Amino acid sequence: MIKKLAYRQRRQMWVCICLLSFMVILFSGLELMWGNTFYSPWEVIQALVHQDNFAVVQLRLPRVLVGILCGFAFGIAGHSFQTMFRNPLASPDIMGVSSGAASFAVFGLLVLHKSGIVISILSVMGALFTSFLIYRFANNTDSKLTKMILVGLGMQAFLQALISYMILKAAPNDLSNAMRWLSGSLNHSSMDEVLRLLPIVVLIGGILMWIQPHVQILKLSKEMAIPLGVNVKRIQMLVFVCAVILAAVAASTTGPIASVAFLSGPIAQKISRQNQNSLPIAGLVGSLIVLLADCISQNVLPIRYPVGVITGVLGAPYLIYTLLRLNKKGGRG
Amino acid sequence: MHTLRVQQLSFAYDKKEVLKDIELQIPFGKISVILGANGCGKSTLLKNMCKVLRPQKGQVLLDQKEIWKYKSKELATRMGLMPQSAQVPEGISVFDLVSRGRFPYRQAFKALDSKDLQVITTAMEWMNITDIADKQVDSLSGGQRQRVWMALALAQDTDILFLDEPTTFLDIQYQIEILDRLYELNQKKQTTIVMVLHDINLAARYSHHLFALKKGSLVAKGKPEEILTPSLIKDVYGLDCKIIEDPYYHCPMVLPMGKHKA
Repeated sequence: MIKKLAYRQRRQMWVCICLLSFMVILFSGLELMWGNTFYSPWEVIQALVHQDNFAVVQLRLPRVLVGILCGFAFGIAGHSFQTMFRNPLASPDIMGVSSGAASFAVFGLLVLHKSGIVISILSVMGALFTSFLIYRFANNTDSKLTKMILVGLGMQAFLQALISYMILKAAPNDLSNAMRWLSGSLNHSSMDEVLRLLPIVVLIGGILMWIQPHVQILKLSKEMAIPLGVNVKRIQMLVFVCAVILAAVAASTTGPIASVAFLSGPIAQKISRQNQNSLPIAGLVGSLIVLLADCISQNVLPIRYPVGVITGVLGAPYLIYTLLRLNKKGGRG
Repeated sequence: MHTLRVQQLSFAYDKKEVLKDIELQIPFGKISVILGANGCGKSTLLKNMCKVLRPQKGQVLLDQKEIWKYKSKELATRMGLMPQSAQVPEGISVFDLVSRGRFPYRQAFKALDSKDLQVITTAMEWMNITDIADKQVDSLSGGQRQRVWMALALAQDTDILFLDEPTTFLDIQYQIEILDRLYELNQKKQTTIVMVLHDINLAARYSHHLFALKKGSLVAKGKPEEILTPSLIKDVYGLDCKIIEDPYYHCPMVLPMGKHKA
């Protein structure tokens, strides 16, 4: 009986992972085929093998890969935060970490007139600085975690206002570059970015998956976690730093794609129907959301909105629902 | 044979001193109960003994070694805690929750092995929750939930088990059931049990050893029949009482006196 249950759970997880991976591949293929010119699957494969089709290899492929990697990074960063804080509102985008990255990037672009890698470094610093500020307002005691989320919410609003202000003041020819930082976009994605993202996502994602059992115990409560052998302070710090770095690196590449980090965790929990191993599932859900939203924004709608606009529209109703539900439950996730 | 000692332990929340110079040795392989009025520091003492709180002064020694010097997971294979009224996270099944008791024994990226499953199965059968293994914990009643938490503690399979008011908020039949199970655990596996209980009479029945706390100081320790006297109850609870013999088990039974009878 118990053995069957354990076996069923593990099988369920692998089915989930395989299905989601398949869908990620499916939508990647769709995005490679679909665009200004339509290419058949065979043409796409030919182009990938021979590296000779500019639209597919230079434009669409990096776009898809950056989308997958950033979606994955946002997804597991969000899920880790939500699990650790025990609150669905606690995700790096809602708490201002992504906005921190964006505001520093916009500052670098428009005020310091820098570009390229400098902007990436600046935005990672921005995210780290923002999360440091949030962290400073609350020690990692249980009751103060909620406070941290509130501080983050305020921070996020403030930073978005700051970004809007800087963009309004900007010279017109800087605008197109700066706009991606407002809502997040996959335009201008390049293979260089893919190569920069890949090792970080693999390494940090690996660490997060490695310590995931600890995080799952910590989710029960601090009083349960310590006697079960979790080094609470170390794990909290590690999760916080890893998730912030992931969100920062992703946001420094695409801008703060709204709601991906916030939505992936809850969706992953719903479809995996169990808590222990939902982290990789959350990552895949993140990738899928970004790809799906990009497909819609590029091909379905009359105007090509940045991908972040679509994810924002997807996330807003869920945010309102979560707020209402938390309100009913008295603020406990 | 192991030893668990508390030496010169003092603890304060912020500036407020809660425990003063506690000195005691937990009898190994026995059931000990910590008694005292609300706010006397009994839960705090328990938390200090299992590393949830860190004392400002003094120490807790397991086999002559300070508990804070053990590796987290190593200590977790030797002592476990069932905290008071633990929150249940959403959407977690009974099996899932109980299996977390195996955490100290598991390695990263490894599934539960057959030993783990064996221990989990035994724990669940023992607490009689096998048939609800795939139910969501937050849909269960209070009594059933407490069984699940107990099963988790049993799955941790430790020599020492701390319990913070395991019977609070439970109907009387569940209180008796939980205490009976703990007694059987002690008899079968010689598990050392240390718990905080509110009910003095149940404590007298189910413990080999009592520790009485008053305002953060240890005022009495010993076997129930030796230390439970009207003067101790007066001292600890400020209550007049008679001590009679429990008609079932012949242990002391406290009959409190009040001012009225309806």
